Amino acid sequence: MNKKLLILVGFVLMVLFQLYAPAKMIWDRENVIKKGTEFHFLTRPVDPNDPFRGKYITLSYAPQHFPVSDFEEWSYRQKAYVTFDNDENGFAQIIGISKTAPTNTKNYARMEVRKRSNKDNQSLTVYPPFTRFYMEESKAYPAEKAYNKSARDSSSQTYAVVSIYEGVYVLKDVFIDGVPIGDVLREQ
Amino acid sequence: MKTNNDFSELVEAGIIDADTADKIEGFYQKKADAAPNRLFLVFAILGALLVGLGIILIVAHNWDNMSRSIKTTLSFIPVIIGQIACGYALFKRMESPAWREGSALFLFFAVGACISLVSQIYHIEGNTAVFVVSWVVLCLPLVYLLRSSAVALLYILGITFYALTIQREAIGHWSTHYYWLLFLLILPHYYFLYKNHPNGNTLNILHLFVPLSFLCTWSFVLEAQEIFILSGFASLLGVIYLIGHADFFKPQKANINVYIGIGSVGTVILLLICSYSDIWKELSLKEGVFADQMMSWSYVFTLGFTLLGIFLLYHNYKGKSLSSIKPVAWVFPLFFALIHLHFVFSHPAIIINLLLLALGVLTIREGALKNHLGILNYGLLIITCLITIRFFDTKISFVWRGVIFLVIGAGFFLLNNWMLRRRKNLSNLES
Repeated sequence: MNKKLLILVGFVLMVLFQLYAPAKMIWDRENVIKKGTEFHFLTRPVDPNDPFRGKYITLSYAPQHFPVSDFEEWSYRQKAYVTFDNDENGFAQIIGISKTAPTNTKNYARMEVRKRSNKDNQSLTVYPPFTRFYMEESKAYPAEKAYNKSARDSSSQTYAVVSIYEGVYVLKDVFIDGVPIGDVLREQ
Repeated sequence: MKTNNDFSELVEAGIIDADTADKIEGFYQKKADAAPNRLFLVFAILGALLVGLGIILIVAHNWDNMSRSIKTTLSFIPVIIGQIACGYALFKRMESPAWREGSALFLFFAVGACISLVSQIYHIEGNTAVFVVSWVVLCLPLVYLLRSSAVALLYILGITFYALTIQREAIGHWSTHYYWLLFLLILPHYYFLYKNHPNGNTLNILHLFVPLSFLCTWSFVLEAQEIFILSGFASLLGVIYLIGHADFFKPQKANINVYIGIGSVGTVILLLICSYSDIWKELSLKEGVFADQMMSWSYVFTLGFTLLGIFLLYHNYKGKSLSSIKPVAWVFPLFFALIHLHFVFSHPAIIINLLLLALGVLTIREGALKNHLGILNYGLLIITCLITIRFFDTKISFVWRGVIFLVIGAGFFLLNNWMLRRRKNLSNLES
């Protein structure tokens, strides 16, 4: 009887564990989408694929640098709290990097920072980590082509819309000249 | 299988009594009854595997037309179906391996599909190694609750993949060491099968996967000096080989003793790689540097494997003569000694070549003595590989290569001649 009870408890725990893990992933992201602030990050996509999760566009961003006074106290690829705000063009820019979560704002994400030092200044570099935008398998390649077309036109801009809230971030969409990439493909 | 007529004929001839005939018949009947079960099991596993992979592929398509809430709800449906099937198997059909393995495998893939879909919906960028390890860890309870060996195999593949890929991204980072813990978590199941189903096919497959996983990953997980890694490999292969020969392993039914196979073939490949002098030039360390490196984890592991190997040598050959020790079992202590003394010799590769040659000759000798064609040919294969790579080794001058080949060739003639004469003498004595 004891053994049976133990198996039952084990089974129930496994079931809850298997449901909790994906549910927690969903809950955290939904919370960010609901409460987070949207930022626009300038991007450049290309198309690879993942054997389990399907096709996606890899987004690459220009690294953002932020000068710090306590440069020596940072280690290589340390996780940090990066606070964002919009610049004059409406794109995301870093306004602070700290080892502990800021208390005066909720617009910060937990990201890896790298060290960069030259003779003029010592700064921390952030490569925005939201680099995968999953698409329906037939659309990933045309999406890349759509980008290439817009890249030839210097007046065109591609950017990612990302919600950020209390350390977590969710990549919501990718836009080409203000139009979601899915709609750009539909128009074509 | 014998027919009833055969048995009655044997009973009539007085070779066996009726009671024995019944027992034999019962034995074959039981065996025949088990056969369709096995077929059912194979179909259940294949079915679950295909359905599971099918779900993953359909999910990977990424359905743009559905809303986020529909997609998240749908991602849980296969998991819940799998959990219900597993619950039914666990509480009602535990005696049926087909139910246990089939439902566990289905749930395994359903969990993978669910995490994939959620990652896809929210564009979670996490790397594949972390994704795979979260997947297999979420499904590890299936191995113990439903005693599913199919999930155990996938778990071993998953953690091996994790260890091999994570180190590229996080070398020296503590997360690479998760592998040890994850590896330990599967060993109780391996032990359970070893104790309770020593003749099962699944145990044989685990005999292949468990040592290979450890062999592939241990050096990746450590930030190591290559010279110790080589010796560590030699010792680990020695340990695997000696486990294959140990008395606690021998009663296994296995047609092919996997541990002996991996240990022996692995040792030969390692020696062939180390038979190039360039390898030693690249790896050799100055005496002082070598002493400093002895404080590293890779050295600790190498030393640990070697001591374990020596313990197994003692355990396996206690009270037996030195000549009864198998040739392959000599390699790892010699290799360990060579690593420590390699700066004393000007050409450690020569010793490795001699070691390989001796290994080949001794294997041929063993094959001849046992009259075992497989072992004899294996010895010949070792020598052939050695000869082939030396023939194309441009670092040795043509003259030297020519002389070495002549000497070895003459040696073969003499050996052959001696063996033939010995056989002749033996047959003369017998007659």
